[in-house]
Amino acid sequence: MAKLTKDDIKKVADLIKIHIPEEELDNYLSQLETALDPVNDFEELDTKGVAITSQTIGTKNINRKDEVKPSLSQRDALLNGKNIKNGYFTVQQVINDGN
Amino acid sequence: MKYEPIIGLEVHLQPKTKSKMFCGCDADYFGKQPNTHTCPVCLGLPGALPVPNEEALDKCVKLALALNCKINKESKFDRKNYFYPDLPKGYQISQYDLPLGYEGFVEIDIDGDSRRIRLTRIHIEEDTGKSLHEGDLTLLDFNKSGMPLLEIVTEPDFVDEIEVEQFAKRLRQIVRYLDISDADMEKGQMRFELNMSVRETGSKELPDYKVEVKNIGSISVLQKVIAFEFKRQTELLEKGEKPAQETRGLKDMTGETLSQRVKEDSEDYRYFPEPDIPPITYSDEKIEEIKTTIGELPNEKKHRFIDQYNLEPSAAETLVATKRKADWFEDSIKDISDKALIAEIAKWYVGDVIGLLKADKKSLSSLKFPPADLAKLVSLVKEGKLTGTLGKQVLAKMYKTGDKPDDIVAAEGLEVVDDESELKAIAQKVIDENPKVVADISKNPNAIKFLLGQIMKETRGKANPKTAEKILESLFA
Amino acid sequence: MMETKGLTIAKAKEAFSKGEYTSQELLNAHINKISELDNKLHAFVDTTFEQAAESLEVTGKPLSGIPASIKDNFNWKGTKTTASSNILKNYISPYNATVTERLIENGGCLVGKTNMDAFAHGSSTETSDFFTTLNPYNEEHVAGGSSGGSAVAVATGMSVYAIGSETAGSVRGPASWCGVYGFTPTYGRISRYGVIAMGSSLDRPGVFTNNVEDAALLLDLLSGKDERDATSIQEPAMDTASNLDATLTGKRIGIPKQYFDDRINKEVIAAIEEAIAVYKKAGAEIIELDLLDPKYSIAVYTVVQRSEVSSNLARIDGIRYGHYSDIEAETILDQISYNRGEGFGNEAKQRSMTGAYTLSAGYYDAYYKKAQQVRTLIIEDFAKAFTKVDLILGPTMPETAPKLGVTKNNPLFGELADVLTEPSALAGLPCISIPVGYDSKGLPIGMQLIGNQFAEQDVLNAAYGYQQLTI
Repeated sequence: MAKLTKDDIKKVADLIKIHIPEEELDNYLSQLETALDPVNDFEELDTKGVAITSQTIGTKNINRKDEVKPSLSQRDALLNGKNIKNGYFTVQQVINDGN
Repeated sequence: MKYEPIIGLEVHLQPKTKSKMFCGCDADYFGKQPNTHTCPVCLGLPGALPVPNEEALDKCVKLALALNCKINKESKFDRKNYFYPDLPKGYQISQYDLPLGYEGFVEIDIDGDSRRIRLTRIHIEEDTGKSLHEGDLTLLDFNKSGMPLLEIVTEPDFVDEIEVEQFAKRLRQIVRYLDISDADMEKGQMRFELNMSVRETGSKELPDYKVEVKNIGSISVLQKVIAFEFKRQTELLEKGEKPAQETRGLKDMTGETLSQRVKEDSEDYRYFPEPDIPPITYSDEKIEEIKTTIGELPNEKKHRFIDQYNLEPSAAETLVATKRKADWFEDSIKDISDKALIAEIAKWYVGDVIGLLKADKKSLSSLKFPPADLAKLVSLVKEGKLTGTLGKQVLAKMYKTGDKPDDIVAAEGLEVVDDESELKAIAQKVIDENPKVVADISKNPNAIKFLLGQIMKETRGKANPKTAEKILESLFA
Repeated sequence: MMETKGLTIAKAKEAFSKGEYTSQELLNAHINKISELDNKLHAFVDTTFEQAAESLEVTGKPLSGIPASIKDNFNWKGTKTTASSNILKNYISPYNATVTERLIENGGCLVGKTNMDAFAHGSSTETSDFFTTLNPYNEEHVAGGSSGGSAVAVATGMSVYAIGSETAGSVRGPASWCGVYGFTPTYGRISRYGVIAMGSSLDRPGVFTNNVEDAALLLDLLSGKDERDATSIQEPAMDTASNLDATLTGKRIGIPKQYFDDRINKEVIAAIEEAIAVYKKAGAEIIELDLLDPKYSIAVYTVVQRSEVSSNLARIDGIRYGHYSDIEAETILDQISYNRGEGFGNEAKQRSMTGAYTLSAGYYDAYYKKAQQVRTLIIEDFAKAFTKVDLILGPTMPETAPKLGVTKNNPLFGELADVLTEPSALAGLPCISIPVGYDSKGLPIGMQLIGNQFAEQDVLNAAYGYQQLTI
């Protein structure tokens, strides 16, 4: 398996929006390398033609009927938001997406 | 240097359902107070789990079948992972490599010819919340979050904005016919995303860049965006520059687009199969069952109207604009076999009945008289029992009161006066009263028209104009 | 003061009906126990004595008056539900998990939310963002995790039973290290709705108890399809408690040689072999098994779990809930980065990053896809084994509870410690850890039984059989 670089760490941290201070990058680099170590064992197994498992109990089409159920009250929906205004969650920056 | 555009479209359509895609929140959120149609699932609270809406899935398959798609009988949901404040879970539940529908097409009419626009895929996913600007703040409302969304992706088959317009209108018409969606663009139920590049005319290669314009909410703006982008991109190409591969947003409703400050790395969505939702399968039986609910589509109906009723293509097109309009029309002519009469009824329907409704901004369902009454009225006129002009008057009365045409004619004494001796007498009277005009007869062809008008006035519009004209001419022969 | 340690639901109910003590007195005894022990042991993140007292008004239900606790990753409306994480430390839940609902419906008397490794990322409860839960048998050792608080609550008599969750070995592990029963049913048997997700295809609610009967009763009350969890088994609630059967004659017990090799502590092996002898004497057939090396399970579990973790934690961006940084970042996405960077602990961050890496473009096939393929091989390996045996038996953990500090500089501690529980976790098989003795330091040793998919009754029966012979 490929060795990781500090750049990989920066990229991945940005991908999942977790700010890692510069001085901690090496620490996370070493943790990730250790974490990926067992994966080397994969090379020993032949998985040609083997299906993937994404669920173990084999059910299909577990859907629900199109029926309305009660929603949360506005109060409960907003309960844990840090910044609230007139029933909205707010953030202090403007999203610039040309809308 | 001449250039041509390569255009592909992505349409986002909100199917009509009572509840949201993965939870039971009421789907009728439009115009409601913010954050009042949410629950742990669509608000993305820790621990919540999605359960798919069966009706939304069936509507997706129904649309795919109606648009000539193949169906992936073994399908699934996937997570599309990215961050945005209006995306509460930090991922969107969507479909990646096994969309419910793929490889379909929509036929549009361009200048009387049929053109086929190919569809790459149709899949189902969930919508995000809504963000609003207020000064320096962004306000977030999650009522829309978790609403079902059908995404229709076309191949880059369009050659100009007219084809795009026709496609968008045809698609909207079809989804309304199928009762899959109201496609009300003002409520954001149908939105467009444009993919466009430009190349030298005649070149067979696809350009190596693509510009994306997101969140276009009306067909007219879509056309303007295409025109703007064509100009912008050709200008760059003519200068020897290549337009940047990027996502742009709308500046305003004029079609002008802006480069977005959001950095556009090709985003790594880290798709993987949604572990919280078991696979979705559609059996052949279930697909057949859904097929039977599709019914006749607008294009089919239009061609049938042309063949069966001998109608002009443009008349047929208007008649099939909505299923309800078409059904009302067919209802009105169901006991009639005379093709000429049918054509007349079509004319009155399109010109007058629809006209009245449009002027009042009312819908067909508010019409006070039944379809059969229109047929009756038009046959009265065609049979010569009622003049055309008075016919319109009767129609207006029917529209207002719902009274039967025969009753109105009788009550107001509007039967046509067709008796030749009676008309001869009146004609003579008119001639006698208008010596000056009579004297001009040989010189002024309009004189006959004037005298005819006077006869109509005398008879309060009831004279059969053809008979009256014939009599006048015979008197001057 | 009445001794609460070792109490079972049946014993308490009997005492109530005989008038030995009231439910109020029993609750008080537990509250006293908590005051006595928990300042040191830190099994609880939060106590809920008011709600527990209120619950006594509901009498006559199966769980009425029986003090219990629940891991802090289960949503309980109106309480703080933190998953022992700083980022959620002020989060007040506006809804109930299905498990919480079913407990309450059945008269549940919940005295508190128990401590865990933050977001269940661990096998020690040392990586809770708040405090470490200590092992009651030796306070210089960890309790195990991630459901450490729940295990300790039951082990010390601070609760008669406790609810936990297991993704690899987070119920069996702490049960084994704290000397109590830890039972996890088949994946999907008990609804995950309202459990803060770690690995969506792996998470299973489970229970800690002082005997097999209580585990069976709780399984019966908590199982049954849930329309809010599309991965729940589409069957009604089970009925295992009234069908417990201690007969061991003729039962085929599989002993995988891979669970007894030289990576396992000798004293642990000795204790398990004594237990095997009990089964053999009772007429069970002991059959040696050759299973896939558990090291593959470590690799698969690491990749699949961390991939799912990276996605499941993405919803915590600080806007609708969770830590909001004081930094006024320039863009919203930067703000989100600071919220998460400051709020998440080391485990959550390093696991999320690993998981995102294994899902990312260019690596998906080699890591995630390959892992899910190997997972299929592991599942098939078990299916094959269960054509030859009714149950699989082995040590729960390779060693007894390690000393505090074991997780420092050990980014894979969780996944490595759970080597013996990960294979069955990947297959979602029902399993139980049974206390079978102590090592020379006095630390508890646990034995695990693993059953075939959907065969909870077999697992409980085999455990019951052992229990009845060793009381």
